[in-house]
Amino acid sequence: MVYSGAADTDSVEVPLDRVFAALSHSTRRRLVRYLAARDDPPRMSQVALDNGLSPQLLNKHAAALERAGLVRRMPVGRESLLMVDRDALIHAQKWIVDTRAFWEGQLDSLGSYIDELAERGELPINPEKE
Amino acid sequence: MAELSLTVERTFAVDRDTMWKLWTDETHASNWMRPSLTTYGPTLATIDARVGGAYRFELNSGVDGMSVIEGTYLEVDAPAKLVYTWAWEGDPEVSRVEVRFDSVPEGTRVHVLHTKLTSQQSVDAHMQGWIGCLDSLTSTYDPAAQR
Repeated sequence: MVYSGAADTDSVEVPLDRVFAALSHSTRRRLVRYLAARDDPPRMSQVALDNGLSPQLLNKHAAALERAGLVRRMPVGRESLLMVDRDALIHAQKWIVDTRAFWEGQLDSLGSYIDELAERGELPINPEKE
Repeated sequence: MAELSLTVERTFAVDRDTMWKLWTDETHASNWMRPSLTTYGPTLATIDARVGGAYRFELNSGVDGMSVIEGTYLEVDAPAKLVYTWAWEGDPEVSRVEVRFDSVPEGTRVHVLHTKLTSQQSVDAHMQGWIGCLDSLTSTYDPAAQR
């Protein structure tokens, strides 16, 4: 636990809402995509250069992403490397995939139930009947 | 937050009033409100489809036992739109579900928008729910408060 500002994200799972809050900013989504596409973590100065950000602005966004557990800044000499945490990204992705599967299933069930009602001649449902 | 929400749409060959009943009537909801009609038993649904009203769906899957979804209605606009909070029991995360029912020549198009909430948003949603509860209470106990 040597990196600053992320002491509480080291061992404890970060709540999804913090992940989503961090990703609600387009620059931070771009940064995550940029980092995820690279094999090795780049230096902060390289990240700033490649993304057209000032060091101050990059620091701000990196800190927000770090609080969400999405990235880590690893001090190397006088600089830091910025690395993406793939597990946190997978966790966010999983919510979307699981929830979509859930709703597709729900609508399948709704469709089957409507077919059943139609076969029994119970459609349309009379709004007055309780 | 476009990437952090998801949309599912489908068209069904029933009118909007029927579709509304299927979503808000406890008996009908119990018959279909589950991700699979074959691997899940009937759902136990309680629904109070008023702004501020609560709902609870007990899903019965033979294998995993019971899982419960519960929440509060934030918008109830029959037969066009339902908005409610969504939480799995035992999970602190609250999300928001918006279901729209559009009349189309083939019947009714159902549009589900499920959005992940940040802390602040879920606090606001809960506030709306609570204000709704208070409104219902006021109108129950004080007829003069009804407009």
